[in-house]
Amino acid sequence: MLRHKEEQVIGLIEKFRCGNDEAFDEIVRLIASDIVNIAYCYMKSLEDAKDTCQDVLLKLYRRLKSFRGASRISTWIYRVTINTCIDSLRKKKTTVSLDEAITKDEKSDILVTERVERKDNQIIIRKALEMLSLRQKNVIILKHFEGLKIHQISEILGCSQSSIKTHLVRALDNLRKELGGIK
Amino acid sequence: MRCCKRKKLFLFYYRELKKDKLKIIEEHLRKCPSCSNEYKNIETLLNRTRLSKPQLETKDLDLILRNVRNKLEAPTFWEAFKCRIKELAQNLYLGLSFRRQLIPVMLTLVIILAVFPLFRSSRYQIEKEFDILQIELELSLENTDQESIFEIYEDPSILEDNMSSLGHPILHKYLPIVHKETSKLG
Repeated sequence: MLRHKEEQVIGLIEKFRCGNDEAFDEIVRLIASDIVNIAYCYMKSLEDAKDTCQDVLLKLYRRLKSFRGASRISTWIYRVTINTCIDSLRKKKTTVSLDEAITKDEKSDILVTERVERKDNQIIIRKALEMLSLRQKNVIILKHFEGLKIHQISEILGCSQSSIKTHLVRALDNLRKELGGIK
Repeated sequence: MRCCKRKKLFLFYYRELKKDKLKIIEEHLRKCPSCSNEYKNIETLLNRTRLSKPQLETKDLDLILRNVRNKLEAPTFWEAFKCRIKELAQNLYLGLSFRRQLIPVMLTLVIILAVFPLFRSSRYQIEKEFDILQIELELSLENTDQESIFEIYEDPSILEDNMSSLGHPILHKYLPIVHKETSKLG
């Protein structure tokens, strides 16, 4: 959750701007997992999500010094992340096996049946997400999976709150249709 | 209170309504079994629709950091420029993707604004030329038939009235000539 780390990130950015290059390493350690989480919603495989995270961090490094603070730092990072994910998806346009994508992050101490069930659910949810349009996908990822408020999402995506609500409801309706049989 | 729409129930789930509305819906859900049932279904579905979040280990973070540093060592101006242009284009795309329905409306407006003045001016041009031609034909002694000349001779004010009713500025040029000619004939 980038929003909760905002103050820490701002402090580190100030250090980085003053010439402390190691502050960037701390920023990476602080926000990399959040970026990977968002990227993983778009990218299908964890490895692709990590690659996208690297691209995002690269962009952040190059532009942090010129960041004027017109918007909140978390809003800016979210925007860069979403744009980079869309860019990576366009570049790839190849489908990765979902089974392969999900196996790595399952905990080993869960019962086998439960694990299989959960894995199936993850596949169904990811497939349902793929069925959504890009607009709906952006909104549902930021709202449902990232837990942001509607006004924050409207800042990130640069559109009105009513538009976000409409896309959210449409996305949830579509998810509901797709996930009718989820256990 | 009327039964809640699905949109309200979704927003209620995320607590994205005003406090008073939240209370009203909460009370309604206690009283209305069908809405309550619908909300329970939504709640169950959304609670179960969660993606597992991968936790990065220290070695993963180190690897990411090392790769970023490696890439940063040789940044070229051209790469940065291309990256910036791409991001600007993506920002534009992201903004437009939410306002895509406005594009056909705006395009239609632009086309109307571009074409309409041309259409109007060309019509006016044709009308104007036609008026001049008509006046010149009437004033030409060679092309006017005998009856019209006699009519003008007997009562020149007919032509003057007709011409002034056309209201074209060029008439003022021709009117003195008409008067002169008719007075000569008189």
